[in-house]
Amino acid sequence: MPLYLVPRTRAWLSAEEVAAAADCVPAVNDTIDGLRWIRSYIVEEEDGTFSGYCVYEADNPEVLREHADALMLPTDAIKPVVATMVVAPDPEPVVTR
Amino acid sequence: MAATFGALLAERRAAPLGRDDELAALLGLIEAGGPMAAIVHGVAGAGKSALLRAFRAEAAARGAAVVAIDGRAVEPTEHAFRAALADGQPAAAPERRAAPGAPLTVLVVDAAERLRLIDGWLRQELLPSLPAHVRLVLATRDAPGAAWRSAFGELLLTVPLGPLAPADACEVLRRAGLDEEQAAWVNRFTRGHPLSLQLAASAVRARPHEPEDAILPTVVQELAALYLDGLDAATREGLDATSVLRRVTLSLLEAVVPGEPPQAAFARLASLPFAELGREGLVINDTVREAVLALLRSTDPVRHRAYRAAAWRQIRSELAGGAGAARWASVADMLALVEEPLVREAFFPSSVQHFAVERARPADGAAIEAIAARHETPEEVALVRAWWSAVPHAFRVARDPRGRVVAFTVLCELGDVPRRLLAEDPICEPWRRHLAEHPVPEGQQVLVARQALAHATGVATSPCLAALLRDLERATLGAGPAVRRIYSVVRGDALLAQIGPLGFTPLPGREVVVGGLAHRPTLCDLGPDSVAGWVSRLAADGPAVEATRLDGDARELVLDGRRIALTKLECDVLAHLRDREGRAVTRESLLRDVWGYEWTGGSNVVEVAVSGLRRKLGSRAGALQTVRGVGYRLREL
Repeated sequence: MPLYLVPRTRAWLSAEEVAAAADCVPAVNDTIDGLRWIRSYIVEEEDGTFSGYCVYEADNPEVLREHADALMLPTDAIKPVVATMVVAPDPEPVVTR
Repeated sequence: MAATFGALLAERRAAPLGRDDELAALLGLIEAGGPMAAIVHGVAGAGKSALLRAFRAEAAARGAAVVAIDGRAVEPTEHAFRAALADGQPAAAPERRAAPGAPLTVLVVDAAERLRLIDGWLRQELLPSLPAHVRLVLATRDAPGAAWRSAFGELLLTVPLGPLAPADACEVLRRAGLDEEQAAWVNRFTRGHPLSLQLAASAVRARPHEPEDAILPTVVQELAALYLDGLDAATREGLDATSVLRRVTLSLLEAVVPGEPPQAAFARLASLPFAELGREGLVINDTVREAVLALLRSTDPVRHRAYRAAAWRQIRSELAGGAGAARWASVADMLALVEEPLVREAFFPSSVQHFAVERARPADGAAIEAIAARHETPEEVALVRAWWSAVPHAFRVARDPRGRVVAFTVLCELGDVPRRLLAEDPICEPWRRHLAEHPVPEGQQVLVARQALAHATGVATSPCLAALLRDLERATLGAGPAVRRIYSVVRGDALLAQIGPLGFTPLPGREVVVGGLAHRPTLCDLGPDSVAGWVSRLAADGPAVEATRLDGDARELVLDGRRIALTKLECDVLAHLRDREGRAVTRESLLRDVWGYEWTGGSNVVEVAVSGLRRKLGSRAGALQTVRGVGYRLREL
């Protein structure tokens, strides 16, 4: 499956929203075919909201839009990844507060 | 926790705060005319080792020779102890005789509880043979027994180590780097227990930004293990036995620890620092209770099952006799015994709940319809709209942290559903038919759970839908003692498998097709005892408690975990009444169907069988009621 990067600016208004979304990941993954959520990097914006840079494998961009709709997430863009440079594996996941 | 072992070690090596009096008393040993021996005792983590370290340092500074033995490092045999003694300090060897004016030698034995096997030898043989200039200090978890006290009389100093005074505890915490507010919080739950103070202080320092809730369970769990090790056998047994209970009352305690007066066992538990006396009884700190329970379940499953069974029987009998608030307290007791995950999660959620559940507001209609439209056929969406317009109070919604509706359920009394909607919604037809064929007695409620749908996952399980389902269970239980039956509907076997353990079964008959999709109507009958009976059955499904059942082949009734032998007639009478549970059965029909003849003349064979049954039912005899002028009725056993 092709790999995609999906930026989501100010997708979550609070750390609790991030935690709630994380809770739902397994259930949502089970119900959407043709998509594999690889990982997300969450960053805190200056206004206290949270944005995400999410990496997925997906059959097509349409599945990604369906996924965003299911989780009520904004989608800035759906960018196909053309090359991956893995210099080192990800460290231990950073835990949200 | 301290970041490293070394950090913890350094903290604990510091002179113990708040133990000045105890240290002074111990130093009396090296003074002329002082006691010959001292026993320092206290639960694990009370600060015994720290006190001994301080004593050794001070005694050495005053010129005494010190021989230190750690009970944890010595094999509990005479040979090994003698070897440790010789290694430690030749001056303490029994064969040496002190020269006049020689300094005293103090033999300091830490963790002496590990040497219980050689306790008698130590007291009766070794100590009397030691030179006159030797003094002894033992640190152990138990207070010295009568044997030690009679051997030494007034020459034995007993030093109990209790919790630190609040001011000293706060000073310890401040020295450990906590600010005033943190220190006050930590001491609220450590209650002056020195090791707890240190561990909690380290945890707070290591994770200053963690919420208090994240630190506390870890600290308490570790401490719980230490505490348990240090408790005497009877207290430990009481704690093990009551770990299956939500609260401890005298009657429950007597049931799970039958061997001794409950008042004594209660007093022992009440004195534990993690027990609190509340309005409903004694409550053991939840984290400690969970830790004890987990340990018991994994190390002694047989005893765990026996405690559960004893608790179940007692709560069952209290439920039968209780009324009002007392009855609901017993329902809650029974709930605590339920091991079915869906029910456990509903009442004792194991994780943080991110989704708030509440009754739907008028403005939620559009969001509810949008969720239905995402997953359902137009026909089903039209039905959701019809329910929303007819019985909006039946809708409950789960909201995400932003307040958006992410899932909804529909639950109400069948009687609240307007006739027009009952006719319009094809799902209602099998419910109504079943109810007509199997009516519930007057005054008992029938609920209908029509729909459960989540925005993200539809009918598939998800955290927000789970939150709603849990809420449904709570609402059902909270609806009062009159709920008899819940009708519902499922699509697909997965959901049925999930609610099956709760007692839901498919209604007989065909599936109902709405918008081309097959729906299976289901039923959960709570039984004549409503919620209390239902919860008792769920609790009985867990390990160890055998549900009430009548075994016709073996002529046995399993009741409250007991096996009761029945005669063939008693067994047949009971089976006949159970088949008609809650309904009055005439004496004539019993004679006809059980004895096999019709007779309205004088005979007391039925009465004889019934009175035999009542005798065997014991405390549950009241379930077999006489209906004057009719015959008999059996309530749920």
